[in-house]
Amino acid sequence: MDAYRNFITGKWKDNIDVADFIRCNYTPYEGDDSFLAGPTPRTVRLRAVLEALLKAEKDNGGVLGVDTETVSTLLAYPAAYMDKENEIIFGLQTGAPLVRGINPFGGLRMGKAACEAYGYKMSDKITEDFKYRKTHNDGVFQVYSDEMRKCRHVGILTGLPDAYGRGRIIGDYRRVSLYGVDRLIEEKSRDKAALGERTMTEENIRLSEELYEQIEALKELKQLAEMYGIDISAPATNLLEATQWLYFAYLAANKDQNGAAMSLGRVSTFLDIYAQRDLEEGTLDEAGVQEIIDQFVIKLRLMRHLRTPEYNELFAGDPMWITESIGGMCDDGRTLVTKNSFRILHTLYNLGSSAEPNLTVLWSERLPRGFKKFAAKVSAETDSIQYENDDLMRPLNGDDYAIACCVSCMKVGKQMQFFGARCNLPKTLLMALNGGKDERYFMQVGPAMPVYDKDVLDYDEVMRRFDYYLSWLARVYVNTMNVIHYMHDKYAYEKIQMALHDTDVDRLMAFGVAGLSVLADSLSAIKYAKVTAIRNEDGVIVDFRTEGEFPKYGNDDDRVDSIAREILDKVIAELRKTPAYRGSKHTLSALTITSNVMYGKKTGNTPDGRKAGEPFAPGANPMHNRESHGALASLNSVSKLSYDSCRDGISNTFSIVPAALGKTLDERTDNLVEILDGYFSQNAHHINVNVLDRQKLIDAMNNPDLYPNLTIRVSGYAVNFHKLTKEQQREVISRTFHVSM
Amino acid sequence: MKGRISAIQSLAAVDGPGLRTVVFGIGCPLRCVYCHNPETWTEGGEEYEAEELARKILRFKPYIRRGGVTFSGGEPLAQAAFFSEVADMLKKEGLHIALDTSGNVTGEAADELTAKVDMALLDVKFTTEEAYRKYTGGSLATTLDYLAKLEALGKRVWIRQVIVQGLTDGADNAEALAGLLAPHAEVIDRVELLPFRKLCLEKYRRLGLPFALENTPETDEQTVARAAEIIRAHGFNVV
Repeated sequence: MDAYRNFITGKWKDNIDVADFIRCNYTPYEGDDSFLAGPTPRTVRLRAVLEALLKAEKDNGGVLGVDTETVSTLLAYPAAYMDKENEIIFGLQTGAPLVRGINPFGGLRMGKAACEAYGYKMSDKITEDFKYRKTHNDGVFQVYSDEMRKCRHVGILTGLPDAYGRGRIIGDYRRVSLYGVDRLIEEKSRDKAALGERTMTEENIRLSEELYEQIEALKELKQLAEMYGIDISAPATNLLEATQWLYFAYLAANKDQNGAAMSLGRVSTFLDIYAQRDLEEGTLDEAGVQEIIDQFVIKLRLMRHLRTPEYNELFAGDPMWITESIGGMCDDGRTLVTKNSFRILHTLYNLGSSAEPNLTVLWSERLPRGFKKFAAKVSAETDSIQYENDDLMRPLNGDDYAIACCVSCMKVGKQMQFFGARCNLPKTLLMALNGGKDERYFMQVGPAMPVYDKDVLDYDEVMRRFDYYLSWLARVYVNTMNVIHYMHDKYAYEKIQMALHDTDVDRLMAFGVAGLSVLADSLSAIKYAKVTAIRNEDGVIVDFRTEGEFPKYGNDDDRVDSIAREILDKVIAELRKTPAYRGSKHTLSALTITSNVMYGKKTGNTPDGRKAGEPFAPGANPMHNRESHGALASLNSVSKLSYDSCRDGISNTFSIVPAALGKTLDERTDNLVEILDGYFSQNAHHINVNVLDRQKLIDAMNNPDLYPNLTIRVSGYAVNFHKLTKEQQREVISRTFHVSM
Repeated sequence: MKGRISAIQSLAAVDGPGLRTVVFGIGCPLRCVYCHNPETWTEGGEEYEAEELARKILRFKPYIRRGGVTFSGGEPLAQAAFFSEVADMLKKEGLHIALDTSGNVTGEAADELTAKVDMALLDVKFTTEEAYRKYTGGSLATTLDYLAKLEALGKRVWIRQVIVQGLTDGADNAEALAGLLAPHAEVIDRVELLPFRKLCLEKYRRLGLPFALENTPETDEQTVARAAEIIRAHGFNVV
C-alpha cells in the first residue's frame, strides 16, 4: 500500500523534514473533548496487567528485577511481551516487563552499586568484559582537575552527569515512521560519503566515526523490529504502524542509553495525521484510535532505568522524563492542537493518573478555548501536567521544538543538548564571604582571600566578593562540563538518538542554578535589614543574625525581584566567558528537580534566616511560605526573571487548594485558564500546576495504601507521591499551598 | 489620601465572580461573634496612598478577564473616602469592583463609594433585629436599607450569610432570610451560605482576644444544604 497516499507533497518528500510534513498535512482541532472515547476491552485488560506489575514492583522495594547477566544494547534481549493477547504495540526494554537492564557505558561503578542497592549482583562476566572497555566515567575522572574534584566534593557543583548517561537528547523518532529506516540509512550514508571528501581534521574524523556508528545503529533498529516480526525498513502505512515504528525507535534509544532524561519529543500531532487518514478511510473508529494511543502510553509507563539510591536522592521517584510536548501554535497562525492532543491527555482518564509520560502543554494565548479548558480540567483532576510558554519559545525556535526533561527547549532533530546539572548559588555567597573556604568542610575550594572581616554585612562589599567568586565558579563549571561531554561523546555516544538528528546538528550546553530564592532573599536581607556575621573559633562565618524586615522574593516586590533577575543575568554572562565544548551555545536554567532538598542539606546557614541543612525552594520558586500576597503576586515575581538569560528554562511549581480556585470544577477550570493566560502573557516560561490540599498529602503520607496512584507535579516533572523519600515528602508538604483567606 | 490595609490577597476565586484580587481594609463598626478577621478591628495594618494601592492592584490585571477586585475588610465602607479614590483609578483601567460589606455604615462617603462599585457582596448576618444587635452590635434595618439603596442604584448583589449552629441553622432562619430578600429578588444574582469555620481561632489567640464561639462546632455540609434548599424554593440561586 502507498504509505503517502492522500498526503500533500512538500519539501518533506525530498528532504528529511518532519515539520514540513506536519504543516502540509495536519488537521487543527478547535472543538471540545466530547468526541473522546473510553478504553477498549483490550486496553482495560492490559491496564490490569500494568497495575499488577506496578504493584509487584512497589511490593518488591521499588525494583521488580534486574537482568544482571546482560549488557543492554539494541539487540541484547529476545522479543518479549507484556500480554500478547491484549497488547497491540510491541517491544520491551529487556526480557520481561519492568526488569531493568544494565548499561555500564556511562560508568561501571554506578551499575554495580545500583545492583547491590536492590539486592542483586552484576555478573562477573560483565565486570570482566569492562576491564577491557573504558567508560565515560573512567575518562572523566582521569581528566578532572583537583579544583573540579573539590567543587564536586563540597557540593558547589552537584548532579554532574559524570557517572551515567547524560540524557536530555531527543531523537526525532517520528522520522522512522515517516521515512522508514532504509531511507534514513541512505541519507546518513550520503552525509558520510560527503564528509570523506573533506579535509580529515580532528572534527571531521570524529563526525565520520559517529556517522558510522549511527548507520550501524539504524541497521540494528531494523533488526530489533524484525525480532518482533515487524519490518520497519519502509515508511509506515497507517496509525498502528506509525505508532509502532516510532515506539521501536524510542525503545532502541532506551536500550542504548540510560540517560537522565529520555524525552519523547512532539509526537501526538504528528500521529494525528495518520489517525485522521485512517478515520477518513474507515479503517479505524475513534475507539480504535484511542486504543492505539492508550496502548502506546502503557508501554511508555513501563520504561525504567537502573539507578542508585544516591541518584534517587537527586531525582526522586524513578523519573524517565518521557516528556511529550502537546499543542502550541503553528508558524502560519493555525493551532497545532489536534484531536490527538486531547487523546494523549485523555490517557490520564483511560489509564488513571500517572507521572509518566511527562505531559507538557505548550501554552499560547491563541490556543483554542476548548483545549485550554480541557487541559485545565485535566490539571485540576489529576495534577499530572505542566505548561510552558509557546508564545515565548516559538519565535526563537520555530514551531517544531520540543521539551527535553522538564523545561529544556530544543528544535526536534536539529538541536541537541549537553546536560549540565547545576551550581549552588547560596553556597557561592557563603564561599565569597569566607574567602573561598567551604562553610561545612572548612576546606579551601576557591581562590584564597581573607574572610570578610566586618561584623555587619555591607551590600556593596558583599556583592563585589560574590561577583568575583561567581566568575571563578563559572569558569570551573564550564571547564568541568567540557570534560564530561568530551568523554561522553567518546565513550557513551548516543548513536541511535543522533542517527535521528540532522548530521549537522546545533549544540547547546545547559547550565543550571540551585537556590535562587535563598540567594535573592539573603542579598535582600543584607541590603534592607541588618545582617551580622557570626564566626566560629577559627574566624569562619558560620551563621548570621538578621534583624529587621526585608522584602522577600515572591511578593511582586521589585526591590528583591530585581535582585533575583540580576543574579541570573550575571550567571549566564559569566558562563559565556569560557568557550563550551564542540562549539555549543551556553544556556541556563533555574530548575532543581527534587535536588533542592539535597542542595539544602549541603549548605550552611544563610542570611535570609534559612538554617543549615534546610531545603532550598525548588527551581525558581519563592522560598516556602514567605509569600504573603497570594498566588498572583508570587507568579508575578517569577515572571520577572528573564528567559533571555535563562533559555534552558525557568521552573515554577504552583500548588493551590481546590476551594481557593473556585466552587465548582467548571469555575476552577475557567479560573485556571485565566491564571495561565495572565502568567504567560507576562513572558513567564513554565509552571507546574497542582490543585490539591496539604491535608491530602499528609493523609497519603500516613496511609499510602489509600492513595496508590497519587501523582503530583514537583519541579518540571510529575512523581508518584509514594516514590519520594519521607524527607522529600515532608519538603513537598511544607511548600506554599495557596489558599483563600 | 491614605488608608489602612490589613492584607492584599492577589488571588481569590470565591469573593465575587471570576478571579479577583481582594483588599482587606482596617476598621469595622461591627463585632460579629464569628468574625474571621479580628485583626482588622483595630488600628494596625499597613498604610497606603490610594495611588500606591491602585498600582499594586493593577499588577494583577493580566490575570483578570472575567473577575476584578473586591474591597473587603474589616468593613470597606469604614474607609469609604479612601476606597472611593482607589475605585476611581481602577475604573479608569476598566476593572470590575465588588464591595464585600455588611452595609452597616451610613453617610455621604459610603453612598459615594457604593455608587462607584459594580456590585456588592452583602452579608445579611442575622434575620431579626434582636439577634443582629446581640451578635454583631449593628442593625438589621440598616443592612436592609442598604440593600434597597443598592437596588435603587441598579447594582447587582450577592447575598451572604454564615450558617452557625444554634444561631442561623434553623429552617425558620432560612425562611426569614428568603422573606427579607424577596422584595429585592430582581437584583440578587446569588445567595451564598457559608458554613461556620474556626480557622480563625489561631488569630484570636495571637491577638489575646476571646473567641465567643470557641465551643460551637463547625457547620457540616448537610446543614448548609438544608438551608439552601429552603431558600432555593423561593426562587433564589443558592450556591
